[in-house]
Amino acid sequence: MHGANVFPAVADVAETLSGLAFEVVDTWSAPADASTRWDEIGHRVDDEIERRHGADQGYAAWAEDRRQLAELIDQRTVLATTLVSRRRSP
Amino acid sequence: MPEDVFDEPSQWRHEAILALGLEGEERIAGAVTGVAYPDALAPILAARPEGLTTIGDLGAGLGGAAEWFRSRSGAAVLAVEPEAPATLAARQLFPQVRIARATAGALPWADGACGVVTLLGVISLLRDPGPALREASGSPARRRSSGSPISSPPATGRWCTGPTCSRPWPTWRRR
Repeated sequence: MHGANVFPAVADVAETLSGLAFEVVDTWSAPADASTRWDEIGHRVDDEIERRHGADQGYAAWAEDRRQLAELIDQRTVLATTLVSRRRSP
Repeated sequence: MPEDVFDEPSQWRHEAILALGLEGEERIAGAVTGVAYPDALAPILAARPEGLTTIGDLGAGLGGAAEWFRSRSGAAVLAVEPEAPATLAARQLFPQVRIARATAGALPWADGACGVVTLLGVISLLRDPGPALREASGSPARRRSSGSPISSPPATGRWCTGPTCSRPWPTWRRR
């Protein structure tokens, strides 16, 4: 299962859930500025990882993957969304 | 890229968290990589049913989000993670989360064990999310969850809206 990531549309996931007798009750999407109070800590951790493992095999590919994803999110090509569903009442 | 290095970033993150001496919410924040966390997790917390006692978290990674739900909801969290290094790291970082090494297709939970099940940044790793959602929902053959909500937030943008978002992406990112 470690192949390429596939980003499904929320409508497709909702349809799958509907087939399992669930209904979507809330959908939340990250705003254009998705920064939060946790970002500063995340940056500190990322910097520490780079300091310790920046020369390791695989680091460059991992960092580039994250950079590209961040770019897609910034462009809103990929939209981070939280979906909450609940089992339908019988 | 060999699969045996897939989990290395989780190990690096674990090591960095300990080296920086992060504790409490800072430890949680350092362990997750989801976009817009914790804001993206808040709708799940808000939707939890009254009297919730147990949350299931599929694909827990280093357990940061699981610990956030545990500390905010007061419910116990049963987490599963398929990668062995991440499982071991999560146990060390967040010992109050009960984490087992397992896949979304074979959950080690008793029927009705979880009132809420979360999949955070998991769906995009699956070619067909149907079986995992079916397993998480306890339907149709199994009834694990007692009926409330399946919450499906993103880690790093793994959920999206709009047809342009259905696109492949290189592997080797985890929450």
